Amino acid sequence: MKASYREMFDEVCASPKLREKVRSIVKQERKPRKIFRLPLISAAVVILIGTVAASITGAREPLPKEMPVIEETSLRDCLKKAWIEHGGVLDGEQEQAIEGAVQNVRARARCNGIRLSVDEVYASERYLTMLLKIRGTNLAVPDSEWESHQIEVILPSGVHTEACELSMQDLGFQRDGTYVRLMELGISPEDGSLLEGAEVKLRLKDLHVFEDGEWVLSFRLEPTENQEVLTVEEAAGSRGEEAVSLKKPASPFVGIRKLQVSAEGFRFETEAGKPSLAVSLCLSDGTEVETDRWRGSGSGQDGPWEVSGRWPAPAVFSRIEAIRIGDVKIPLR
Amino acid sequence: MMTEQQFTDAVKRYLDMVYRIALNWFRNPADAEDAAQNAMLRLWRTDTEFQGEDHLRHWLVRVTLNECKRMSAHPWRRRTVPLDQCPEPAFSDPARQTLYQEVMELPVKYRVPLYLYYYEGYKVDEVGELLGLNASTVQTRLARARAKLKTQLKEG
Repeated sequence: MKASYREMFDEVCASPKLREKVRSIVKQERKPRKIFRLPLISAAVVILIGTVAASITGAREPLPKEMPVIEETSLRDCLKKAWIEHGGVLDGEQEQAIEGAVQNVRARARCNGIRLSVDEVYASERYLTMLLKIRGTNLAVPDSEWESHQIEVILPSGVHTEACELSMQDLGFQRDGTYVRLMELGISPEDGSLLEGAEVKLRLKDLHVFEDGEWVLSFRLEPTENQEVLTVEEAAGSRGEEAVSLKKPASPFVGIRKLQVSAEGFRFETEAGKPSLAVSLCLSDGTEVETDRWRGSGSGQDGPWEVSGRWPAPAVFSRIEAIRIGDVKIPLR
Repeated sequence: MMTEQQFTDAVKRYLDMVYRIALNWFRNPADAEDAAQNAMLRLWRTDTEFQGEDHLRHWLVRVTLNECKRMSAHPWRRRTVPLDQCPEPAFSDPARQTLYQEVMELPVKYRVPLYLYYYEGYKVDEVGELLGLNASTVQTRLARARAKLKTQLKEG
């Protein structure tokens, strides 16, 4: 399929009209001059000058002015939306499951005129999701190199860990000018479970275009009550498609061991083979909710693998019937 | 800053790539052309000193994706064109036409990683870095895209 895909796109090219328009850029556009102009100019030029100034001073790229304007939102709203987007149905009981799983915290930080707040967090075994609200001027584009931020998580066992994953999704500006960002951090399975509770400290940097600074948000994550888990000691799931295409194994299936499924997420191991990456939660009403939030570690296509992940939002535990790994549906009750 | 010659050379080498990324994002050639033009305009205006071809290419991919996101998010630009109203390229082989249609029926969250991985040759973690996704998310989306294409092509 890869060859035919490439051959197909080899025939998709820019039109002569587009080529001509792009070539004419050099005739129509003059190079920007590196001087500061009076503020009474259009937003687009302000951004351009900000970018030029940033390159001169070594400062950061400012957030673009054209960002979506969103209604005031909450983490609960984001999780409900994610649940629906991944195939779930949001009825009263499911809504209640989400409402109850989100914890209210009150974390604040202020530096260089920029104020940060986190009011809600949601924890699964490995992932902590939060809505970061930012108010201020001269906000910078978030640094995609997450290592520049520091995240410290102290678990009840005493384990100090730093997040091994951090993702950020910018949602836009609320009408009151607050900038909203969805953040999620992940810890390694070996470190423990966030469901046991934790002390969390986020040190975020590079939020101001011109000034260096650090914003520290600290909060306590409470343990999750009623951590019910459905367990299957041994089952079969689909083997990963890359493994199937690379060599022809005797079976398209891979042995699944120690499968655990909860309202928040799942984990399992394989003895010999990389599992399929398509995992879904199967509910009693017939719906299947996909997930793209998981992490696997293993050795090669034929070695053992450990996989753990979370559902797009907490599910109603009593509705969980099965988990699908690739093409194979594994009953849990 | 780029000279006129450098820019012209970059257009020859990378305009198709930029257009294809945008086409995978929007599906609609008109929007894809707008995004491609805006991305190349940013290249002409940038003060970035590129450290080699790989740097330039990576920069252009990133800028194109950012431009697609910006255009998608703009409230006055949000428009959805039904697939059957999107003009298609002309292919020399009917099988390629069919494959194009099937690819364009995939959701955008699958189309873009699929293109960056299979056509532009980026690794999973590189695709993740470009799209702001973690590697496992990219792998899941690639797997689902392949599965959907296989299913659709079988049914077709």
